[in-house]
Amino acid sequence: MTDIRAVERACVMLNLAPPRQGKHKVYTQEVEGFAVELPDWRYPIVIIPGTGECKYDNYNGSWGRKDKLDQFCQRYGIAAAQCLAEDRGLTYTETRVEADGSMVFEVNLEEDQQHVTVGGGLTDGDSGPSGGL
Amino acid sequence: MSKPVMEIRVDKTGQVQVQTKCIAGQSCVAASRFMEQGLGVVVDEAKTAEYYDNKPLEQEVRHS
Repeated sequence: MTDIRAVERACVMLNLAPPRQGKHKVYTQEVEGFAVELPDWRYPIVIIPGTGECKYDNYNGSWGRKDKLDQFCQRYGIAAAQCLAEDRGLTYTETRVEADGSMVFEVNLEEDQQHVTVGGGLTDGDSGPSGGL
Repeated sequence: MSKPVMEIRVDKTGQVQVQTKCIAGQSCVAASRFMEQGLGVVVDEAKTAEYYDNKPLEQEVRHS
């Protein structure tokens, strides 16, 4: 989870408090990064700036249900892709939820002046944003 | 021909799948590169037969 903007958006999508930067207690450890409080989790998940690593301890589900983390990861994936599209000036559709629970949206590549030429031609040499913290 | 689009699909565990549509030939690889680089490590890649025919194609890339 390398894009803090997407972490913030994922929190908004799930009506969670915004991520808090600082040092946070995760059981016996003190972890520095952006903390997100998941519903009914004893300790926050902490996202490490730069690496995007996510530190957490839910004691195999006793201190927090894994599906809550999965839900957050899913929203993060959507938000990160939306941020990347916006960075490139591209528009995208509303997100829909499919029967299997997957979330899906489409980015319009016709507007992508950096690569796509209408009719199929592309130029190479990507220098797109990395979305780092 | 339909508009070129990139479909982003995120499953219930957060696994992201990127699929480009309606871009001719191998160009779709370049079109989705910025998304792949921004989202993470490619753990799987699948190309349709159209990729090799240099016709409009679908490319599928999974990310961790």
